[in-house]
Amino acid sequence: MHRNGPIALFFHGLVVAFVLAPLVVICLVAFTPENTLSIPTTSFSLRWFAAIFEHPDFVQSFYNSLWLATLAATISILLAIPAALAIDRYDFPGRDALNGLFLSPLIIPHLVLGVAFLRLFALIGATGSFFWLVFTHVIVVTPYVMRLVMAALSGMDRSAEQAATTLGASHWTVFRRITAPMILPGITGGWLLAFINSFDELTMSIFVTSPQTVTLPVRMYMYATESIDPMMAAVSALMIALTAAAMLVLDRAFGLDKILVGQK
Amino acid sequence: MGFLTLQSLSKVFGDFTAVRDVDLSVAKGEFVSLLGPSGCGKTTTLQMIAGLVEPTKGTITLDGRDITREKPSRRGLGIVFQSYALFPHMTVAQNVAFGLEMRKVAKAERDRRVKEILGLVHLAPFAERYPRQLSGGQRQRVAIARALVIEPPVLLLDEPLSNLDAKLREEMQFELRRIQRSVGTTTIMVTHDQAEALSISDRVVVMEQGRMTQIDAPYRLYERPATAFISSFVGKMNRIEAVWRGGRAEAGAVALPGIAESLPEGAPAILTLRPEKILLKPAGQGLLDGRVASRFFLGSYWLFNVETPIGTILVSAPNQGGEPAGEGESVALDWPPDSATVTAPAQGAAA
Amino acid sequence: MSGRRALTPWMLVSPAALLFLGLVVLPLILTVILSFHAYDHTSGIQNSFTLKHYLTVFSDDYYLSVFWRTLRLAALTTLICAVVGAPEAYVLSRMSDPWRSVFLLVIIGPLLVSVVVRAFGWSMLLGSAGLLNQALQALGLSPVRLLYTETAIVIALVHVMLPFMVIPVWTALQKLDPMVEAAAWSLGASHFTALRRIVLPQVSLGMLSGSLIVFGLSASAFAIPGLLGGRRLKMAATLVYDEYMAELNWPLGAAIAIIVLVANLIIMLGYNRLVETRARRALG
Repeated sequence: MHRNGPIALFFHGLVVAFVLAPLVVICLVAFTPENTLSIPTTSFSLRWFAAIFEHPDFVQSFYNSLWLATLAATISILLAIPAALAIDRYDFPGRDALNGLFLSPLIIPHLVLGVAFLRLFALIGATGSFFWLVFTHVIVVTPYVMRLVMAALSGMDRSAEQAATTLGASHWTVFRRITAPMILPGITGGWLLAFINSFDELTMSIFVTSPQTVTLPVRMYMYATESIDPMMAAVSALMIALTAAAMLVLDRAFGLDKILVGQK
Repeated sequence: MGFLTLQSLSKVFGDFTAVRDVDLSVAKGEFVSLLGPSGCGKTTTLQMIAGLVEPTKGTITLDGRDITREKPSRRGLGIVFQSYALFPHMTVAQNVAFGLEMRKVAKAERDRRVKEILGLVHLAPFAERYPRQLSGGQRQRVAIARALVIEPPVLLLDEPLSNLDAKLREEMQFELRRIQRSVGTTTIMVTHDQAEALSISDRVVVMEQGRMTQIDAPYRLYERPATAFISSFVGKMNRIEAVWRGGRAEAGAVALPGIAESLPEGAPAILTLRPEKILLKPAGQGLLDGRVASRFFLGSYWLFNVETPIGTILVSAPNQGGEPAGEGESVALDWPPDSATVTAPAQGAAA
Repeated sequence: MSGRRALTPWMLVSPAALLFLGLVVLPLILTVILSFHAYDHTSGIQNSFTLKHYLTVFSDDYYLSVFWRTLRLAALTTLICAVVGAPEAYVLSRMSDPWRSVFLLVIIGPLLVSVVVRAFGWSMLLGSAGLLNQALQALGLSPVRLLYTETAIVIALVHVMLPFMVIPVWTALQKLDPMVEAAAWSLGASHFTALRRIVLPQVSLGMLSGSLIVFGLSASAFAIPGLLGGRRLKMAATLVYDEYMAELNWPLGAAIAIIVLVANLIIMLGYNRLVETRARRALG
């Protein structure tokens, strides 16, 4: 009913161009046949994608990140579901404080978390451990999972649980057969969001990864501070493609705007 | 002793007493409605019977067994929730089978009973649909089927018709009664809709502010409301202020016939009279003359506000086809003495 | 029965609670302690305690200049984000549906793309032989030096932070009854007046919340100044990284990190206080 005027649309066009420019440029440069960073004009080449595989350290980092993000998102879900259930369904002393604690990584700069983990790991001799790296990522992604699972829990019809109880189901059966399937969208959305956030995390990871556990963003950062060549563009284009695919799934399943915007 | 009995059942939330010393005995196969406005404690009472709310005091016995402290999952009662509480991720058949599954009923037997009950509620063709694919009335019948398939000793209905539109609500009232008759399950229904309660119950329990104030058959509740609250809540009622003089009620020097208890001479009295008991007659031929102030046509009947020397009186008359007295016309009001009740106002104001 | 009921929530939260106590609270306490440890360039962290690192940070010109730059660039980024993001959210909210969801996705979707990738994209665009300069030269203009300048950092920061401004303003606009603007017009207000008097006051809280998030994240940003600021233009986060990885002066790095954390918490808590008073006033 309200229409945007031509000035508004022009402004909107500029903003969209600004937002997309670096991403589009990356995707174009990735296909250059040249040795320099240039937009391919006459022919496209996959040589820089092939070049990635001549850098086993990049491939290794990709697998590190993949494993790390999968484990971190999964562990986070397993911890967040019972915690969210307790906070949503029960009233107990310290409930608000715990809720604040679980959401605190959102307001602590990742830089500070990285420094803090580094200190702890230096003291307990865990520096460079992949096991501990996973748990640092669990900390970073759990707030996102908590928020989505809590929103799903408070949004569901509680009387369905009561109905199942009166039909003879035990607490565990009610959770397994009724509650869990009903909050499944929140759980899946939380897992994917956690996966993406863990996969992309740089600032905290750069303090706690060792040469063996370097994640892809950290590897890319290190590489980009040394030299810039079209291979970085190829790796970046792959990451953009991966993210876009995940976004598409998230959007189809739940509406991306709901997940990113709706923090009810 | 009844099949299901509540004995001095109470529930206190903080400093608010939701239900106060409620006693009720329900016979096997009976359909009882708990009627009252929101906040009267009827839903809390139902939830205590279901085991979803723990009573503060009192006992609940079912078939001679004390179930006051029993877990809801062990009581085996069938409950239809106001929101229906269907499991959105299960089909109609899976919803209905859930309770049987919890009772470890074998698959073949389960399927047979699900099929049978879906037939009873006329939903057999919808077995494989999901709740979101059904209309409101169909969802409601799934909820009833799911509650009944476990063959509960008692069926509890929490405002089962409140989410339906007016026409469907009327249809479902009779449908509900038909299903209840055919399975013969003892049923307790909570409702705030007096028409619903009157039309399908064997007995109606009126609740006011946590107490049960009248337990009676629907027609007796209507004809002989025990409190002023009930008389105004159940149907429409004229309340005429009068004075007890010479063994009858008088208002503005007009004698008003009615069934009366004995009152002291000169005491104030209240005459209560249903609008449909009053007959409209040509002016001068009734007990009381008046003028039609306003008239409404409501399909099957007409409603009049008649101005009389003793106040405005509401009259309803069945639609006989012709046009009755119009606004501004003079009429007379008449009623048979046994259709009006004269009481002391203190009794009426008690509620 | 009530005894068991009281235990249930504790059993449910305890795994997550223990993890967070062990990996959030404990490391932060250790870091605060670390920031007071004395440090020696030859023998490393000492077992004696000192306020020296905090005093150094607040008196040394180099550190002060980095903090000043951090605050300045974060403030500038916040301002640009507000000026661009709020109108963009408004334009988005006035679109009709297929376009609205598509462009909302375009604007906030990049949030999910790694910040390293986005920083790299800007370094390609802004580099001395970058695409922007290639385009300028093709148009016969002289190239400009952008990469490794504060301008480059601010451009990329705005790019990364813009969604954090659009989201809260968008949310606030969603809560707005679309008819209130029309009501203002019907009462004789011009479009601009309606915008200023009716819409803006109602989204100002969203803008404020977006500004604080943008400021907080910009002030602690790492990848953008790291990749676009080069070795010379440090911000707080890259400074901490240097102290840890190049200088190996962990206590000093910890002190800077703690300062960043405290500043962040003050901003966030101040914001909560503000929102609460606003809410209280709105409720009367």
